[in-house]
Amino acid sequence: MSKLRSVLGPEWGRGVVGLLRTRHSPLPLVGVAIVVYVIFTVAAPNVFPTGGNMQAMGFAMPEVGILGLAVMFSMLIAGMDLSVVGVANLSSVAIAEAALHVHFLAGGGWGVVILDAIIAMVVGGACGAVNGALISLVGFGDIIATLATGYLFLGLALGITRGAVLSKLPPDLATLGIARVGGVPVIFLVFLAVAIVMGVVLNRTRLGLRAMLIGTNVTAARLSGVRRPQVVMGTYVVCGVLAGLAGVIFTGRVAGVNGTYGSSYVLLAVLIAILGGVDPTGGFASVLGVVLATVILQMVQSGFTALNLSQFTYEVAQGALVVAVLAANVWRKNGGSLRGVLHRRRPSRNDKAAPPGEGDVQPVIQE
Amino acid sequence: MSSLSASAQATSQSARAWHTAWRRVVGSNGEGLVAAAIVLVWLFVGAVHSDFWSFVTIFNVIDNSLETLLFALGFLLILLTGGMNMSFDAVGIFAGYSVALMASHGVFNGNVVVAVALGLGIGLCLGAINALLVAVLKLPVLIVTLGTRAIYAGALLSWVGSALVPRMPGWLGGINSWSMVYASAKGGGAGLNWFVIPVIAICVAVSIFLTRTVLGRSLYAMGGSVEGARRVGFPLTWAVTLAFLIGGALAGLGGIIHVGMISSADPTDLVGNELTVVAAVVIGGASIFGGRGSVLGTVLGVLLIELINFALIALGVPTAWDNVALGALILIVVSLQLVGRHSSRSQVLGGLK
Repeated sequence: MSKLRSVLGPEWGRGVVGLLRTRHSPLPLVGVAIVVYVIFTVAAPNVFPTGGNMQAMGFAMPEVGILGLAVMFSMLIAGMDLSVVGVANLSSVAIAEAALHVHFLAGGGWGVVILDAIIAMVVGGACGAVNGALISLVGFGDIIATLATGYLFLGLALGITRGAVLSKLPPDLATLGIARVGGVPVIFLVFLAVAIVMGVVLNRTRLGLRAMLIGTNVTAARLSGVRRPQVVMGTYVVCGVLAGLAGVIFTGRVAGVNGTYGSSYVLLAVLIAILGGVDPTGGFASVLGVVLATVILQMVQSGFTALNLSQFTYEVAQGALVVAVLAANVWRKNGGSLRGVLHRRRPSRNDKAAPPGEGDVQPVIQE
Repeated sequence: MSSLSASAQATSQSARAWHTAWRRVVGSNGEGLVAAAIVLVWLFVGAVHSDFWSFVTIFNVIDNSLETLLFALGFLLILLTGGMNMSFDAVGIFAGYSVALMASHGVFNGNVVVAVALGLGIGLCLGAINALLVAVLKLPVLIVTLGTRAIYAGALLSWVGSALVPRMPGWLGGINSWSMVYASAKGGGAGLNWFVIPVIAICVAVSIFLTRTVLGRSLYAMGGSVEGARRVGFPLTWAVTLAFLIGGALAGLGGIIHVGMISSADPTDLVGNELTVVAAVVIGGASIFGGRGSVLGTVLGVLLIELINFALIALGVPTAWDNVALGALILIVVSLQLVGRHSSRSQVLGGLK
């Protein structure tokens, strides 16, 4: 147990009871998950709570969950990675192109799958490095940089395939997409493994702790000798690698790759992160929260399908949830009164995520 | 020695004069450079593909720019404050499709005045929701507008309609043939649409709002420093509210022009093409950190983007590469802006020494 605590970070140091009492307790999310489960079980008793549906959810969750983890990590430094879907598609196309041009990479065997995963993570990491360089070296804002590169990567993926569907893929990659161990989808186990690794990166590595410090207070981080450019670079490379992994799962789950998969996942990934309790203004992230949020949103989607509601209605629900979660956060931070919410100050960009060098020239006005 | 210093002084004076003249040509937000780029692209593509040098191209580019420009002006108002509003395309298609559907069901007879009024009204309502969330509740602009974008687009497809409206009755269906001037050509001519006049009037009005009114100046002040603008006493809440209302109304009008120009209404249209507008506004010299930007720059940015769009088609570049071109263009332009910002700051600091 003590080893688990040391791996999962200070939150777990308080023990389970202590954790549940903190401000960032996962208990409300567990409660929400149970309520959502009960609602859909009552509404669609023959479809929703079945083993088949649970398994289908297990297959659908990993890709968005991993993208959610990537967005979570970018939010930790008060950043934002809107390019994750583009990166995932580009990695996916890279796998397909490799299978098309390298005879060996179209063959069977788990070695090929591992090689494909490495290809995807390298491509993803390179894309992340482009984002990191634009933001930390050139001085881009996170949003404009990743918005533009997101379209750029998506466009490259589409341009490389020329809009055609590449269906010559290694057979064992498709096996990965449908394999189960004791009824549990293998890719779901992959997702859990990735989540645990991210928990370690977040709480036990220099990168994670420095990212947290920068997200909490960029000036204090600078004065403590944390070099922002390197941390920003590292953060976006990690986001890219995660998106690359999501690309492997995309590829395993579809019969063909054309670089346009999951265009609605950007909002979903952001929603997963903020529903999981991640503070978009930086400084706090929770892997457990993100995993729970992924489960909750997948239940909502499956429940909507079970009730014959359309994909578009689910989109409305996503948007409404984003707004509701943000509003609830503001409500809670301002002592739960409407007066407090209406009279609070607009959070200033300069408070936290000052662009490089900007903080140096602006005088600090004391009240 | 004195003659030496005098000549040095003269050199530095003439250098300063050149610099001032250069700044005037370039414009405070690089408008001159965008105008030059427009001319260069036009000349270059025309040299390769001579059909490009014609009034048909010019009219086509301008007609296509109208809706993009309306979306871009709304986007500019919020970008000036330092935020990115991503819901304008969803507002536009919501208004455009709903009005087209109403007309095709005979709710009104396709009168364009009614259509525009309805479009403005729908846009205002959707803009008011954004304003409530961002200006009053002070939620982060980007995430909230990504949320409302999903709400508007999803609600349109779930509850308003998901089928294509292939025709619209009355004037509304014929917007695209209302030409002031017509240029005919072998492959089919093109006319300059009458809607150019109201759109120019809107540009002038927004420009006056931004440069001559306290609420307009508040947007710039907020982009410079939220805390500073608040302490000076700028009415930030009202300014952001008004910016979202204007942006919503303009997006609503843009949606009407969109469905009118193509004479059919597809509810899955527009959403997902936001990058065109973002690129146009950024190329027009608006700062991505807020506080800088002009209506003139935005107009030129939109014209340049639409011209490039036509150029890519004329040069036979597959449309699959459009996003690559747009993304790369944004990255290049913003990089240049940032490099310029750093050098101008070092100039200022050097001058202080």
